[in-house]
Amino acid sequence: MGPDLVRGGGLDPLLTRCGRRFEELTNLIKTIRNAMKIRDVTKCLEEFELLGKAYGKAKSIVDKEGVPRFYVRILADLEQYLNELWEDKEGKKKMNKNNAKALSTLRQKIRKYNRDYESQISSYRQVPGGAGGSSSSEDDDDGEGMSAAAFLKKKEPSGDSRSKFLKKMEVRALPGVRGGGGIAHVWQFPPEMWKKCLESIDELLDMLFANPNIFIGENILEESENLSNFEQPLRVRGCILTLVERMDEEFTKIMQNTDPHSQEYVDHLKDEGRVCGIIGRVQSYLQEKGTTEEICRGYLRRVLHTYYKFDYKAHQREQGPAGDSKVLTPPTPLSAAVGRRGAVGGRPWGGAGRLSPLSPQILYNRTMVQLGICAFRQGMTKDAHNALLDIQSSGRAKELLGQGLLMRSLQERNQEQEKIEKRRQVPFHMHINLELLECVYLVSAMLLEIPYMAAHEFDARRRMISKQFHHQLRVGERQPLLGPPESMREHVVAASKAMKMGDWRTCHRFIINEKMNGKVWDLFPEADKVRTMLVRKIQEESLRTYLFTYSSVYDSISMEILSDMFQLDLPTVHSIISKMIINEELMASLDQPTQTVVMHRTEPTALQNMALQLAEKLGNLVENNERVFDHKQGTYGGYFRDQKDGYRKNEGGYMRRGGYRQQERQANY
Amino acid sequence: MASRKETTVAASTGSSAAASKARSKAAPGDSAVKQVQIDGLVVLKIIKHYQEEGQGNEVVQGVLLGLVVDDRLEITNCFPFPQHTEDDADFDEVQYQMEMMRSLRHVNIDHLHVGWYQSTYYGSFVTRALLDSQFSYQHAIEESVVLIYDPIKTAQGSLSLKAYRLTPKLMEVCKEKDFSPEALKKANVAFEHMFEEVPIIIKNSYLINVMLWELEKKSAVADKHELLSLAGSNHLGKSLQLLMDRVDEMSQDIVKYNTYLRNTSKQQQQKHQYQQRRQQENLQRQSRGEPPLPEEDMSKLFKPPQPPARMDSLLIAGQINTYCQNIKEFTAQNLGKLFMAQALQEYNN
Repeated sequence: MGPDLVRGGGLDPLLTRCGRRFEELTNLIKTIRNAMKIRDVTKCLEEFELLGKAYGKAKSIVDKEGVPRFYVRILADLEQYLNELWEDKEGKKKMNKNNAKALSTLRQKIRKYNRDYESQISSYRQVPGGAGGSSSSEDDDDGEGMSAAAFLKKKEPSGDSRSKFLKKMEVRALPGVRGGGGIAHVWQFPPEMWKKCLESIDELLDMLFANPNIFIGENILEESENLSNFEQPLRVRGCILTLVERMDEEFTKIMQNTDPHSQEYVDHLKDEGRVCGIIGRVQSYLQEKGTTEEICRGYLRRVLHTYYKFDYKAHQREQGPAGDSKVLTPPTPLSAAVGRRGAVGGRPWGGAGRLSPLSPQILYNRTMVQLGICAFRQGMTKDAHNALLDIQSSGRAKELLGQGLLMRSLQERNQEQEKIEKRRQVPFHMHINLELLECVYLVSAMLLEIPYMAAHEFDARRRMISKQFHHQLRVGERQPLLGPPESMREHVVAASKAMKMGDWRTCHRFIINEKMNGKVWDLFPEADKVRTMLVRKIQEESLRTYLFTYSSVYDSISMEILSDMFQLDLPTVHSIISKMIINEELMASLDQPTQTVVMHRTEPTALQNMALQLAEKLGNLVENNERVFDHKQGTYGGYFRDQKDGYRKNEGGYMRRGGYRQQERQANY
Repeated sequence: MASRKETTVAASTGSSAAASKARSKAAPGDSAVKQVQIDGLVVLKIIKHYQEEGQGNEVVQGVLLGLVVDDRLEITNCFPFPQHTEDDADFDEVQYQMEMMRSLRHVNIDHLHVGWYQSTYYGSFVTRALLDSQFSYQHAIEESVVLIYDPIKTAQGSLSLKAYRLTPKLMEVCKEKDFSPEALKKANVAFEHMFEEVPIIIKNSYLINVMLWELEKKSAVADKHELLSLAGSNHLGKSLQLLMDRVDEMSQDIVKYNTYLRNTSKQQQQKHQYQQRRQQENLQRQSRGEPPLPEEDMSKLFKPPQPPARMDSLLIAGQINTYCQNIKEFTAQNLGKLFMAQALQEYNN
């Protein structure tokens, strides 16, 4: 296809057909490869015959251009595959009769056929990158890469407009343009191809921006294509967005397949800036011209790239207007846009699933986690806790975030499944630090739970805000020997114990020290801001815990003393205590002239609380007892009872209904 | 600890057989003992034993020695059981008892077994272990009693020593070892009829009485402060806690019983259905001329669920009753004390 484009002189009507023919061929080749995978030789045989016919139809084009590379590839692969099957005597015996027959027929045919293409096949086989099961669309990409190179080299004498056309041809020739996409790639670009691809896309974008009268979209049918009439706006069939998405997927695959700890990885990472740039440009283009769906897809791509990291430069740039971290502001409108379309996993998400190899569920989890971490950084502990709760409460945070493989060692995992799983993983540079995640969760849980526990110490009905946190606490208590904390979890547990006493300094010391800094706090951007926020939170929550725990002992406390104890300024103390009083968490009054908090001492003492508990338990006992009665007395025993308790009523009518049920069953026979 | 009792009782049966022969036969259905007469010595020994060895939750136990006279059980002496320590794993209780009794006989002290004593913690003595021990004692020696000494109540001002026996009804049930609901219903045993309390008289010999009078004159009577102490919330708190635990257990027990009932009725239904189906099938078969299916053993197909033993719930109920009694007494006394204190305060102001 490469040389054909360069042939100038008007529009070649064959060019339109050329694309179509090749599309037919690619589809057939796809089917053949599928059949090869499932070892269905009969299907292979059928498709091969169809392929031969289609190729014949495209013969005129082929005559002009030469055999397309992908075709050569399928021929070579098919022959190799058949030879393998033939050698495998064991497998042959196991194959059913049809397959075996088809195998021999196909082998003969292929042998005969390939003799015509001997030279091409041998030249193909020599190219090292040509091995491996690749899909047909890959070939086209490859071809397109080469043609791009070819194109760039050739000089175009016919002037600007022509170059536009030809460029568009190139665009159209991309299979992605044809509304394809979502084909599973296994093989990726070699690096030179990749770079050229990036460059060509850049150029295409330049062109599109420069010439606003070009319309390019998926919904433009072939018939309404307007390529020659310069007066009217030029409409081209194709989709720039899919092109960019495919490129993005390629990038992801490259990252997935590269060893994360090698230098290569770092090199590839540098390309990411360019990828982001391209995506940004596409998005701005789409915002003027594209449909809402396309805009959303563009947003999605951008979100996928930005949500997990913090760009220092961008942050400084946007510090002025936003005054907020870049990660927060873009994801909020972007995520809102995406969320609007894909909130509950309807078709739009299906579209997203098609576009990215990561499942929507993993994406959702990752965004939630990122939101949680951002919220924590801003000091919104409750939101942070809620966001992270679901992920942390299941033990499988690794899998839920797409950063680790499910250990399904009990079941058999064939190669296919492993490959699929691996493909669903997020590339390494996008991994979220799991320890950081857990630490953020535990610290926000601590800041929420300890005051709550202190406030509801005697309540029989205490709700646990976070089960994981309680679990950690209990594990910590069970230790026979309590040494100085080592791991991150032990630090948080020790800090919680200190906070329970209202001792904020010890708590602070446990949360922020060298070990924790190294593991967690330094990994935050703007670590110092986070730390000051944390200290402040610890002080405030310790104050509240202290008041809850010891309010029954005090008659009155001076606010100055409190502010001195917790190193908070007086207005803050005042506001916190006022909030507690308004929420009826603390029974006290504030005395303005003396700046003291006067306790009302209305809470029940320990003994009274116990008596209340006893009363509750006795209530339960009586209820249980009466249920026994209902059971025994049956029909009328419970029927005339209090109608409020549905259970009782059911129990009362139990015998009767039992009788009915029996009759029903008899009728059914 | 209870298991010791059973072994020792068998050994001492022989020695007390002589005692029982001397006694008159009590009317059937009636308890053989109407009164317990305890020597001062026994009381003092019990208290001393507890003070020396019984701090904390541990219960201390010992053997009571004495004689039966008419319908009175006279306890004249006792000796404590040493605490079971790990080093003397081969500590033979029976041997120890025999030794003690032999030694006592040499010194001409009553050496006949008449019962045993135990200290208690806040009144929690209605346990399975106690029941078993007392049953084995009473089975061997009809007049046995168990003395329950409550040290904490004693520390609050009044000696708390109670003698308990198992009722004859309960004895019957225990003999059968059948604790299912039906058996208990037949025997008409409720938790009130489990233990009967026997009134206690503390008696001293005349000589001791004379000495006590002399001592009284010589030394000043110690002020009984503890009786007037107002601090009782701790005691109350602990009692409440124990009570709540029992109530919880009771709840669970009832739930268990409930599930059992539900299961049985469900099974009945299933059985019934199965029978119906079988009949239908047989009818069909008959109409077609085939031989009817054999009647299968229903009990094999539908194993009825086990009825839960009711003895535990009886014990729990008894225990709750005891707790309630204790708390009642305690709170009544304390209320009185609080009113007194209030009156005094008002008088002083």
